[in-house]
Amino acid sequence: MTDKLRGSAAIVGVGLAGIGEAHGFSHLELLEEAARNALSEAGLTFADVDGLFTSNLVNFFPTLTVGEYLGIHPSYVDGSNLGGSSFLHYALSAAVALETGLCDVALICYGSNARSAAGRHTTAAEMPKYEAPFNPRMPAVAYALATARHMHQYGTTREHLAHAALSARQWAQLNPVAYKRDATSLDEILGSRMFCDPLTVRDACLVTDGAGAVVMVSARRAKEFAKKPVYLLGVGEAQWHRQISSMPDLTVTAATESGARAFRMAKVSRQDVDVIQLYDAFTINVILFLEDLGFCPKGDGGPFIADGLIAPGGALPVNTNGGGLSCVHPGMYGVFTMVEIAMQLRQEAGCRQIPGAEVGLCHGNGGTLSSQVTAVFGTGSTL
Amino acid sequence: MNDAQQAALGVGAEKAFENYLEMGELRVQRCTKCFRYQFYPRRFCVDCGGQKLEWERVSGYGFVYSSSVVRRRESNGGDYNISIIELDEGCRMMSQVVDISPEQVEIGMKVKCIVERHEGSMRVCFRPARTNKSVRVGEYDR
Repeated sequence: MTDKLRGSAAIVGVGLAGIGEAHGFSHLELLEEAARNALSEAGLTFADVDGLFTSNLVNFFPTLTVGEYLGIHPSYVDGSNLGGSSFLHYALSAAVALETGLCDVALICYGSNARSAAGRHTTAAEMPKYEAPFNPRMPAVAYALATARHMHQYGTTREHLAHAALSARQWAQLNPVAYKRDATSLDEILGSRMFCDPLTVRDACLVTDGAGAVVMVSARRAKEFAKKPVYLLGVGEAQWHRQISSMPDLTVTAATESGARAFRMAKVSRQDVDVIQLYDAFTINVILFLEDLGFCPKGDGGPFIADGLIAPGGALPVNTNGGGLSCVHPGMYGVFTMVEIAMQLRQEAGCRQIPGAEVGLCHGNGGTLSSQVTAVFGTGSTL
Repeated sequence: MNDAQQAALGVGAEKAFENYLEMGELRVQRCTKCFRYQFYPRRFCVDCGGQKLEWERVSGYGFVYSSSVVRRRESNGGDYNISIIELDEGCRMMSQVVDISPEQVEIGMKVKCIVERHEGSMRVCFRPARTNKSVRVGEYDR
């Protein structure tokens, strides 16, 4: 079955809206604009959508609220909430639904006005019962604990972490829609305020507004559309825990499994990957996921990024839009990884374009290093 | 029937754990089939699926597996520690190391449990262990 899914579905439209600050707009209004942008790339309208894949941090019934707002009557929906990785999960779910005929046009969408509405990330997620009595500041504390342990076991340093933030900013400076584009330096990042040791505010993702949408159809009809199809080659999911205190090893994420599954389905190797978008909620994510997805040995993630390998001009470009650290982070980031990978594989990423990019990897993280979903995309030449 | 047996009688694992804490005791479940300790409490062993677990009085000793300082304004109560503690019995829990300033908490530090009342319910915190020498199982501070 997983062999059958390889290349069976493709992205034929992507859209963004309200990246950064969008005062005066609701999350549904931003979502609608991004979804409309994605559909118009494919010459489609809301009336054509029969598969709806969405969740957010404010609507308890996300597919009902969004479906009603957009005026669509889907035959298939998925509103699973895995946290920020949900949207990568929807890529798998959409591919299955498209392949089995449950729907013909899948719309994966997200919108949030986190910055202009609250100025911080708010969530309906409950605090786990056995962590709540200690008032941990979530999610930051969870990532701080993982960072501290990684430093202890592997000698990862604050400088290594700062390089992840610096690289994200350097990419953001090449992206006209990125929220934070002002020049920065390693010293400035290292000198920023500690808020959850060993993390400073510059180790944490932004709080922005923003919406993103992706339209997927079956590969059989993908060539009918205006944009070059971006094929889903492989996708894998894994989860081992919900709360950080139940994570088996704070230095190893379930991305080891999700990545292996995605690569197995995609039938490509790590060396084939031209560009990576991964969910950088905190700087440690970049280190953990590069290790766990097999791009460097466990423990080497810090030196790997400090060598500049993931920054502009590096051998393994990571988060070319500027990531959640410098481009956009409106609560759940996953969908933006797919929007950027599609731009890259369509060779439409402007001055941040990776020349000739054919294979791209997206990695979503949800909860507190809990849900891990990896998706490998490719151009038509990779089929 | 003694109080300890009474604490787990006719209630789920979560309530039994709370009942032990109310008695000032940290008790952890141990599977009678695979002998592993588990935290948090469940009605079955999450490792082997066994359904017969016993509530063991543990040493209360452990070490800091990882640690962070949450920075907070003085007016809101000031900085505080969040740690994950690994008990000598092998299972882990989130907690707070107290009795020392939060920055002084280090990974690997030996700690000992304190069962305390906090905002109306009981919780398990830890303080630096004064000695590394082993103590009789079940002998711990209240």
